[in-house]
Amino acid sequence: MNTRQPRITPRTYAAAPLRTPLGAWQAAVVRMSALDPVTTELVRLRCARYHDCKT
Amino acid sequence: MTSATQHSLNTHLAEFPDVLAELGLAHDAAWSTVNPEILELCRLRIAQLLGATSELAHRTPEAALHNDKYNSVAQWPTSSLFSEAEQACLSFTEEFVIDVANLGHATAVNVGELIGQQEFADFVSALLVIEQRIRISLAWQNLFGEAQ
Repeated sequence: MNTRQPRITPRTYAAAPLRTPLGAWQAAVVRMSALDPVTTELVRLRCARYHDCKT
Repeated sequence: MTSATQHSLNTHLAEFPDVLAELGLAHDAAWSTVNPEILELCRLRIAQLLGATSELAHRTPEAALHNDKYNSVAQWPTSSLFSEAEQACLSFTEEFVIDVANLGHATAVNVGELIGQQEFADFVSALLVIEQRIRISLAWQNLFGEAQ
Protein backbone atom coordinates (compact mmCIF):
# COMPACT_ATOMS: atom_id res chain seq x y z
CA MET A 1 0.00 0.00 0.00
CA ASN A 2 1.27 3.42 -0.89
CA THR A 3 1.32 5.55 2.27
CA ARG A 4 3.01 8.53 0.64
CA GLN A 5 1.37 11.88 1.31
CA PRO A 6 0.03 13.78 -1.72
CA ARG A 7 2.47 16.37 -3.02
CA ILE A 8 0.18 18.11 -5.43
CA THR A 9 -3.52 18.92 -5.54
CA PRO A 10 -5.40 15.80 -6.68
CA ARG A 11 -6.32 15.64 -10.37
CA THR A 12 -3.74 18.25 -11.32
CA TYR A 13 -2.09 17.23 -14.58
CA ALA A 14 0.41 18.84 -16.89
CA ALA A 15 -1.24 21.17 -19.39
CA ALA A 16 -2.50 19.44 -22.52
CA PRO A 17 -0.02 21.15 -24.89
CA LEU A 18 2.76 19.47 -22.90
CA ARG A 19 1.00 16.31 -21.70
CA THR A 20 -0.16 15.28 -25.17
CA PRO A 21 3.22 15.21 -26.97
CA LEU A 22 4.85 13.68 -23.88
CA GLY A 23 2.33 10.83 -23.99
CA ALA A 24 2.75 10.49 -27.74
CA TRP A 25 6.53 10.22 -27.34
CA GLN A 26 6.20 7.52 -24.69
CA ALA A 27 3.72 5.65 -26.89
CA ALA A 28 6.11 5.86 -29.85
CA VAL A 29 8.89 4.40 -27.69
CA VAL A 30 6.65 1.53 -26.59
CA ARG A 31 5.87 0.75 -30.24
CA MET A 32 9.58 0.13 -30.97
CA SER A 33 10.15 -3.58 -31.47
CA ALA A 34 13.88 -4.15 -32.04
CA LEU A 35 14.44 -5.30 -28.46
CA ASP A 36 13.16 -8.78 -27.54
CA PRO A 37 10.21 -8.98 -25.11
CA VAL A 38 12.14 -10.56 -22.22
CA THR A 39 14.86 -7.90 -22.22
CA THR A 40 12.19 -5.22 -22.61
CA GLU A 41 10.37 -6.54 -19.55
CA LEU A 42 13.58 -6.68 -17.52
CA VAL A 43 14.30 -3.04 -18.41
CA ARG A 44 10.72 -2.05 -17.59
CA LEU A 45 10.89 -3.71 -14.18
CA ARG A 46 14.27 -2.13 -13.44
CA CYS A 47 12.92 1.29 -14.36
CA ALA A 48 9.81 0.76 -12.21
CA ARG A 49 11.97 -0.16 -9.22
CA TYR A 50 14.30 2.79 -9.79
CA HIS A 51 11.37 5.19 -10.00
CA ASP A 52 9.47 3.50 -7.15
CA CYS A 53 6.54 3.20 -9.56
CA LYS A 54 3.74 1.02 -8.19
CA THR A 55 1.75 0.82 -11.41
CA MET B 1 22.70 25.89 -33.99
CA THR B 2 22.10 22.20 -33.29
CA SER B 3 23.35 21.07 -29.88
CA ALA B 4 25.41 17.89 -29.49
CA THR B 5 22.44 16.39 -27.69
CA GLN B 6 20.13 17.10 -30.62
CA HIS B 7 22.74 15.86 -33.09
CA SER B 8 23.03 12.60 -31.15
CA LEU B 9 19.25 12.18 -31.10
CA ASN B 10 19.01 12.95 -34.82
CA THR B 11 21.70 10.38 -35.59
CA HIS B 12 20.55 7.49 -33.47
CA LEU B 13 16.83 7.94 -33.95
CA ALA B 14 17.08 8.41 -37.71
CA GLU B 15 15.50 5.00 -38.25
CA PHE B 16 12.69 5.84 -35.87
CA PRO B 17 11.33 9.14 -37.17
CA ASP B 18 8.12 8.93 -35.17
CA VAL B 19 10.04 8.67 -31.88
CA LEU B 20 12.35 11.53 -32.87
CA ALA B 21 9.43 13.71 -33.98
CA GLU B 22 7.38 13.10 -30.82
CA LEU B 23 10.37 13.81 -28.59
CA GLY B 24 10.96 17.04 -30.51
CA LEU B 25 7.35 18.09 -30.02
CA ALA B 26 7.52 17.29 -26.29
CA HIS B 27 10.76 19.27 -26.02
CA ASP B 28 9.27 22.29 -27.79
CA ALA B 29 6.20 22.07 -25.57
CA ALA B 30 8.33 21.97 -22.43
CA TRP B 31 9.98 25.29 -23.32
CA SER B 32 6.74 26.98 -24.35
CA THR B 33 4.77 25.79 -21.29
CA VAL B 34 7.20 26.33 -18.41
CA ASN B 35 9.01 29.52 -17.36
CA PRO B 36 12.04 29.23 -19.68
CA GLU B 37 14.48 30.88 -17.28
CA ILE B 38 13.69 28.38 -14.53
CA LEU B 39 13.82 25.49 -16.97
CA GLU B 40 17.16 26.69 -18.33
CA LEU B 41 18.63 26.84 -14.82
CA CYS B 42 17.43 23.31 -14.17
CA ARG B 43 18.73 22.08 -17.54
CA LEU B 44 22.16 23.45 -16.71
CA ARG B 45 22.10 21.85 -13.25
CA ILE B 46 21.13 18.49 -14.78
CA ALA B 47 24.02 18.83 -17.23
CA GLN B 48 26.42 19.59 -14.39
CA LEU B 49 25.28 16.61 -12.33
CA LEU B 50 25.42 14.19 -15.27
CA GLY B 51 28.65 15.57 -16.73
CA ALA B 52 27.01 16.53 -20.00
CA THR B 53 29.62 19.03 -21.18
CA SER B 54 27.94 19.76 -24.50
CA GLU B 55 24.76 20.78 -22.70
CA LEU B 56 26.75 23.20 -20.55
CA ALA B 57 28.11 24.88 -23.65
CA HIS B 58 24.62 25.24 -25.11
CA ARG B 59 22.37 28.23 -24.41
CA THR B 60 18.63 27.95 -24.90
CA PRO B 61 17.50 31.07 -26.78
CA GLU B 62 14.05 31.13 -25.17
CA ALA B 63 15.59 31.58 -21.72
CA ALA B 64 17.90 34.57 -22.29
CA LEU B 65 19.66 33.73 -19.04
CA HIS B 66 22.00 36.38 -17.67
CA ASN B 67 25.68 35.38 -17.60
CA ASP B 68 25.93 35.89 -13.84
CA LYS B 69 23.24 33.29 -13.25
CA TYR B 70 24.65 30.99 -15.88
CA ASN B 71 28.01 31.00 -14.10
CA SER B 72 26.52 30.58 -10.62
CA VAL B 73 24.08 27.71 -11.08
CA ALA B 74 26.14 25.33 -8.92
CA GLN B 75 26.12 27.91 -6.11
CA TRP B 76 22.33 28.28 -6.12
CA PRO B 77 21.84 27.36 -2.42
CA THR B 78 23.89 30.32 -1.21
CA SER B 79 23.83 32.77 -4.09
CA SER B 80 21.60 35.83 -3.81
CA LEU B 81 21.10 35.80 -7.58
CA PHE B 82 18.39 33.16 -7.36
CA SER B 83 14.82 33.71 -6.27
CA GLU B 84 13.10 31.47 -3.74
CA ALA B 85 11.13 29.80 -6.55
CA GLU B 86 14.27 29.18 -8.59
CA GLN B 87 16.03 27.68 -5.60
CA ALA B 88 13.05 25.43 -4.90
CA CYS B 89 13.03 24.20 -8.49
CA LEU B 90 16.78 23.62 -8.47
CA SER B 91 16.54 21.68 -5.21
CA PHE B 92 13.77 19.55 -6.73
CA THR B 93 15.86 19.03 -9.85
CA GLU B 94 18.87 17.79 -7.90
CA GLU B 95 16.82 15.21 -6.00
CA PHE B 96 14.98 14.27 -9.20
CA VAL B 97 18.27 13.52 -10.95
CA ILE B 98 20.11 11.84 -8.08
CA ASP B 99 17.40 9.63 -6.55
CA VAL B 100 13.92 10.29 -7.89
CA ALA B 101 12.25 7.51 -5.87
CA ASN B 102 13.30 9.16 -2.62
CA LEU B 103 12.55 12.75 -3.57
CA GLY B 104 11.66 14.59 -0.37
CA HIS B 105 8.06 15.43 0.43
CA ALA B 106 8.97 18.93 1.61
CA THR B 107 11.09 19.52 -1.49
CA ALA B 108 8.15 18.75 -3.74
CA VAL B 109 5.51 20.60 -1.73
CA ASN B 110 7.72 23.70 -1.58
CA VAL B 111 7.83 23.96 -5.37
CA GLY B 112 4.06 23.74 -5.64
CA GLU B 113 3.58 26.39 -2.97
CA LEU B 114 5.97 28.79 -4.65
CA ILE B 115 5.07 28.45 -8.33
CA GLY B 116 1.50 27.10 -8.16
CA GLN B 117 -0.03 23.65 -8.51
CA GLN B 118 -0.62 23.71 -12.27
CA GLU B 119 2.82 25.17 -12.87
CA PHE B 120 4.30 22.45 -10.65
CA ALA B 121 2.68 19.71 -12.75
CA ASP B 122 3.96 21.39 -15.91
CA PHE B 123 7.44 21.79 -14.43
CA VAL B 124 7.78 18.11 -13.51
CA SER B 125 6.72 16.95 -16.97
CA ALA B 126 9.06 19.43 -18.64
CA LEU B 127 11.90 18.39 -16.36
CA LEU B 128 11.33 14.77 -17.35
CA VAL B 129 11.65 15.64 -21.04
CA ILE B 130 14.82 17.69 -20.49
CA GLU B 131 16.45 15.06 -18.28
CA GLN B 132 15.56 12.15 -20.56
CA ARG B 133 16.96 13.86 -23.66
CA ILE B 134 20.27 14.47 -21.90
CA ARG B 135 20.49 10.97 -20.39
CA ILE B 136 19.65 9.22 -23.67
CA SER B 137 22.13 11.32 -25.60
CA LEU B 138 24.86 10.80 -23.00
CA ALA B 139 24.31 7.04 -23.09
CA TRP B 140 24.73 6.99 -26.85
CA GLN B 141 27.74 9.28 -26.80
CA ASN B 142 29.44 7.01 -24.27
CA LEU B 143 28.41 3.76 -25.97
CA PHE B 144 29.64 4.84 -29.36
CA GLY B 145 32.62 6.90 -28.22
CA GLU B 146 31.25 10.10 -29.68
CA ALA B 147 32.55 13.51 -28.72
CA GLN B 148 30.31 15.40 -26.31
